[in-house]
Amino acid sequence: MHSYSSFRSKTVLTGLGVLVGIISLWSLKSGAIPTSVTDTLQALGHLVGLIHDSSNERLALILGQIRLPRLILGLLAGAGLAICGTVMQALFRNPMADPGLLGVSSGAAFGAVLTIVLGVSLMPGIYLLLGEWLLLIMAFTGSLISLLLVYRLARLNSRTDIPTMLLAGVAMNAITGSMIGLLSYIADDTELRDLIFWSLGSLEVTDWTKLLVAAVVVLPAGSAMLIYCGALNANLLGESEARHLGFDIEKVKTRLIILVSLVVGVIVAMSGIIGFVGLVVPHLLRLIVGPDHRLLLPASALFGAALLVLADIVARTVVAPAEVPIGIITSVLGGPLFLWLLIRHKRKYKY
Amino acid sequence: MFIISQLQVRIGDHVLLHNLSAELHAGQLCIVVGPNGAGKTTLLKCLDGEVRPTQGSIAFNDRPIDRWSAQELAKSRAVLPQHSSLDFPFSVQDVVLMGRMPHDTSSDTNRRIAQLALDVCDCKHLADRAFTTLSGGEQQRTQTARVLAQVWQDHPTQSRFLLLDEPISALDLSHQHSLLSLLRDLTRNQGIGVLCTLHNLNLAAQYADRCLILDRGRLVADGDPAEVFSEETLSNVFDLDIWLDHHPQDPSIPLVLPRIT
Repeated sequence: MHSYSSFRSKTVLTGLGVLVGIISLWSLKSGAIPTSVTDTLQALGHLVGLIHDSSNERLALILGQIRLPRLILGLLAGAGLAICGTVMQALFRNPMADPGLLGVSSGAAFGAVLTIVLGVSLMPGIYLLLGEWLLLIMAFTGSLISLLLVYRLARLNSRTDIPTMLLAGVAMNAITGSMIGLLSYIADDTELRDLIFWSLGSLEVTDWTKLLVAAVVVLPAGSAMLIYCGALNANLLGESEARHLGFDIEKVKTRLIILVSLVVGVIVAMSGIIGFVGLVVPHLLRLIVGPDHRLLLPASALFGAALLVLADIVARTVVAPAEVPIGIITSVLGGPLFLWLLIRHKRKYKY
Repeated sequence: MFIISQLQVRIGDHVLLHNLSAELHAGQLCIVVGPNGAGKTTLLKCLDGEVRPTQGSIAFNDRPIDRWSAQELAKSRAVLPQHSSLDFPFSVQDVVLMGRMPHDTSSDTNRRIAQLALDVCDCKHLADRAFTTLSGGEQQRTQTARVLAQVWQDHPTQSRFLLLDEPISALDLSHQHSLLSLLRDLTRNQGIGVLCTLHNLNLAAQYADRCLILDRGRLVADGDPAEVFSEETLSNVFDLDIWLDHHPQDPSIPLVLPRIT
């Protein structure tokens, strides 16, 4: 059994930290122009101003403009999605829950698709003013609205009814799905291409400012979720049990739901829908580190970051110089894994 | 400790509790009996704050129950609900340690108290097992150990209360008796007040300091089981012809048997 101990916890987190470091370095050195580890490190040193050697300038430019922002978005999105998945599973007391489940991701997607297809014609003034920022804002608005709707629907006598909430999430997914379908039907060829490419997900970053905005939202919101590890442990016993153990569980739930919608909204806006990370990461980790959120939450963040960056390396190199959308990679790997989890789950409950 | 006055709980036209008044004291094992749907669980849920009474009031340690924060309450009161499910593979020891969450005692103290609780609930040998792999009775004992760890104090200073909803429903005969005798010891040695719902009248008669008999939301009788258990009351409440005798070893303990017709 995996009982919690601070020594074990430190060992696991250090190990995962090293894993993230190695995969990050690998990600930086791979691409259209393959580079050695030493060159990459030197160029990185040049980039941050530690080494002044003009021979690294070209590589430093590639790192600074293309590979580093992409790596940072990968780390942020992976960590954010994984931690949101872990939190949702604990809130629902169901290891099969996932941010996509509540319709948060599809709400964000609807906001984004609306902008891609109708942005120019419907709100030309705003589009001119905000440009690509409009996509980010609309996706975030979409996720927030769909989550608030689901949450409002699931509230019953100032309590959250979990089955109603799940069903509301299913309904929300269906509604946004049909709206997106309608929008793609009326979209012209260019819009359709943009739309499909966006919806498959990509970690390409064209703009450091946007990345900064994502970091400013995801980092504090993600860290804030770590504070609630004790309450999440208690919630696994049951909502009443958590309250009897002294947690104001209604308040905790409200806060966590808002934090999850913020993180998922921003990540979907930046990189499209990247499925299965939030589902698979906590599930795999629980097999290794156990269910205690004091360790599981930070470990999910690290493992999610490592896994998504790894998936991005595959996406960039498997058909180089072309690129496979990362959402396809995570789904190809995550889909069968999800099925395997379902079968395992079914077996466990068959007596 | 708990002062319940004129408590009424109504859902729609259905009255679950009707004008119930009682005082529950520290150091007393109080057992609530009554047929299905008599309002035993509703009473417990009123006391733990989950159900808000339609009328009347409940005060815990001289303060209305709704004016306590969950955190304050958790330090001096623990609750064992009738059904608890945990689908995540925590170790038995970790589940019991969760009982120490409300307290800011050192982790060594918490471990020691958890060990103690595991020991008295006969769960020591299960400490490293995954909760999800236990049998129903073992799970119930583990959850009981958790709530015991929550109210345990090395040097009892503060008055504490334990609310248990059918804590022996999944236990075998020997564990039923050892749990009830453990609860009685706790009221004596730790000064804890215990309110416990039960279906077995003979167990209630043997261990309770005080028995509350509920029938269709009304408090029918309240007092020492030897005084309040009568053939007439029990036959009426349970709608069964009851024959009342005495325990052969101790005539002060009533023995309840259905009459053979």
